[in-house]
Amino acid sequence: MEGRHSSPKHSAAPVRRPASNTTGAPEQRPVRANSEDEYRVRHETRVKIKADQEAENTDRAVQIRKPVKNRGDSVFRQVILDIVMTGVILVIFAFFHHVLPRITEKNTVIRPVSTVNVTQPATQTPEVTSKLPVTSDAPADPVETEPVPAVIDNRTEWQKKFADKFSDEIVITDNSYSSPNVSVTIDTFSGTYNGFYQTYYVADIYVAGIENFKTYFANNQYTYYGAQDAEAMARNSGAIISMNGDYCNNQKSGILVRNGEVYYDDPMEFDLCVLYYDGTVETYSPSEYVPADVIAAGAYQTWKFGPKLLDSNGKAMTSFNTTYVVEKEEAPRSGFGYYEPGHYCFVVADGRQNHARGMVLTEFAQLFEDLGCVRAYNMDGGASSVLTFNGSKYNIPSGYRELGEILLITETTDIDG
Amino acid sequence: MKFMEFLSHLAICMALAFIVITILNGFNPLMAFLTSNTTKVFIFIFCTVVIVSSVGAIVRGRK
Repeated sequence: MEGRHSSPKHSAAPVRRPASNTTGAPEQRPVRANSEDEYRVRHETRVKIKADQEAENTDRAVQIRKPVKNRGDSVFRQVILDIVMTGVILVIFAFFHHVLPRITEKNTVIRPVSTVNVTQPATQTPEVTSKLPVTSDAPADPVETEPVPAVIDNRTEWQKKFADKFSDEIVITDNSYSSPNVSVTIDTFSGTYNGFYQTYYVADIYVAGIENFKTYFANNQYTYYGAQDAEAMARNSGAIISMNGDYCNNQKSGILVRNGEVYYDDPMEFDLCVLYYDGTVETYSPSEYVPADVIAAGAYQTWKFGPKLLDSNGKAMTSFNTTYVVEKEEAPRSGFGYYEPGHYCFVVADGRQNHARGMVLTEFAQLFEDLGCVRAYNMDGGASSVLTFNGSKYNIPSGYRELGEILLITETTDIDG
Repeated sequence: MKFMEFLSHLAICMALAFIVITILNGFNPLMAFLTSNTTKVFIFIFCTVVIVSSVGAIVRGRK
């Protein structure tokens, strides 16, 4: 190129521009340059014009895109506003659903509407209270209870049946308690269960009479949203062993019978567990019972958390009357098991901790089947899962939570709080 | 028009809130998240909002 422009043949010829080119626009067709400088000028002009055009195109593109960007900002702002408004709605809901009832109705005491009449004497425990020489005052500490001498002639059927479990005087160890009326042995399992690391506690319980099996509300009265420390409740009630119950304090419906007193007798959508005065335990699906019939049959205690864990043959159930999350969640669990009248078990599984993963419901049901129970019922879980022995926590709960009520085994037949 | 637009957004927000409440109910059905009186009031409000905003949208579409 350079050689061509520097040719002496064209060096003297002037540059001829077409007459029509009056606008000063760049020359489109090739023009012979008479010198290197002219060519450089034209080349630079061409480059400059091209750069200007590109810049102009870029500006136009930016102008076209600008409205799109603004529209995106507006949508994003609106989405954020909607999320904030959703949060506000949830806060309002939580206030009316959760906070306000606790403020306005916390101290409202709910009285029992009736008492269960046991027309037919229990076949397994005939007149236990009149025969057993038990202490009438609820002791603050069961350890200090005076030994109760066994009266052979007045032994209940359960005392005769489980004679090898009871002792003539109170014997307490780190994990067991025995007396003429109560036998409790707690076994702790810590290891691999179903392939996962678990820690659970099985309290094997024998009682001489159904009156040794009690429930106790927080502060010894049934109040809406009432709650109390688990250990305080165990000590106040004179419990030898206790386990959390079914979180019945937040409901005003369903069937609720405690220590033979009826609070509610409405149908409900949850499985029901009934401990009858004769010591038998039955678990029902919602369609399998009528509240009035259950009460008339001599219900001593009812629980309404669930679900039931074993079928009528004592086999672990595989589908449950509860939500997917409750069924599949690996959580601390509490459950009540029944072998035969007078023989029960409390089972508490730790969870959500390094020493225990927690159990899904199928695993928990399988555990009761492995223990040999014929009926089993799931109680409240999570941080509520607390087992106490002699007034102190025996398991390691996943957190601290006050309880509304407890199941307990006691020497006394009357709980005054 | 602004009011109708607000109702549409309110319907979206209440629907999102009910999704959250349904998930919470799965964790503890005994809390009665979906069956309490408070929930019933919220459901009533939600239905009203949806009906009003939908009717408004239909009327606008016919004009």
